[in-house]
Amino acid sequence: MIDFDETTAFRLFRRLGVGQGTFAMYLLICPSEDWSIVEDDLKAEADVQLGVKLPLNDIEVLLREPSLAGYCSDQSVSAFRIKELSHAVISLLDTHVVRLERSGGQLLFLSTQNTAEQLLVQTPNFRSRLTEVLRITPDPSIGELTA
Amino acid sequence: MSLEDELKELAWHREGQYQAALDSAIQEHPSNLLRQLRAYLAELADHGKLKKTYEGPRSFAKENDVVELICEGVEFSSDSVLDFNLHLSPSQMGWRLRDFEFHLAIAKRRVQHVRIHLTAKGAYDPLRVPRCHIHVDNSEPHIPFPIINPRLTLHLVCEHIEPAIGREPE
Repeated sequence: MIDFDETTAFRLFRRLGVGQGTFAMYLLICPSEDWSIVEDDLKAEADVQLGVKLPLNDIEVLLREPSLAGYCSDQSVSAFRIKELSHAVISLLDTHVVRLERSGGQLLFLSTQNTAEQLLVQTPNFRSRLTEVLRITPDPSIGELTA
Repeated sequence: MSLEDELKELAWHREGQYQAALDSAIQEHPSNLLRQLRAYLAELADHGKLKKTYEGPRSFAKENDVVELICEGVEFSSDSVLDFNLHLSPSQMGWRLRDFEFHLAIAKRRVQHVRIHLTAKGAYDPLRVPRCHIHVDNSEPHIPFPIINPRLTLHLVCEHIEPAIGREPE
């Protein structure tokens, strides 16, 4: 098991704020039981730090999108859940990674450790273009507060 | 009516306005307020006004659903240090600010402390202790202070009070 650096939505969006307007792709690893909290953190920090509404969808939404780069470039930051790997998802991320890159947006991919490790092995083109792979945890400052 | 009674009536009127301001000032959810305060401090750090980026305030759940937000030891580049905490309580309308304390320890100046307090309950003698007040240094006078959004109070402390107060005239 590879041990990636840890982050929170607050720290991640601090980075995204600095790099606004520049293409970036982050693979975020998180146990599935924490996804809901982490997703709320990501949406809230996108709103507070960048003043944008973060679209957060399953990766399969891109399979139905005729213009991949167009979809991603409509938003400054987009997030996608990768719940499981299929041939279509692998092809989308690996074969068509250049189209994602052309979007110029900042893309976040949320995945579990197991799925992320499979993804990194099976998608060399995607892997080589990743800005970073990070373990993301629920924001400890927020504690038990939920909006 | 004696002069003192008239002054007391005026002070009670001001306390009533404070209460009305608190009742009408529905705060955003504490988690969002925390994120806003933290993002603001991060921006100050980006501009070199603070020594580092802070991950706080931290939140704590208290009795009766009261939420406490605490931020301690925020260090300015000037070596001044800010601590603050605030309490919010839920109401049918949303979240209400209950009380707060902003304590600024100012480094290397004639004035060494500024403290801004909102008390949870009004004092017995509102002429002497307004519910929301500011102390300059360790002085006893409780100078009335307006009840404003904590984000505005933080801004006032960080960008106006800290840089200017107690400086020698040029």
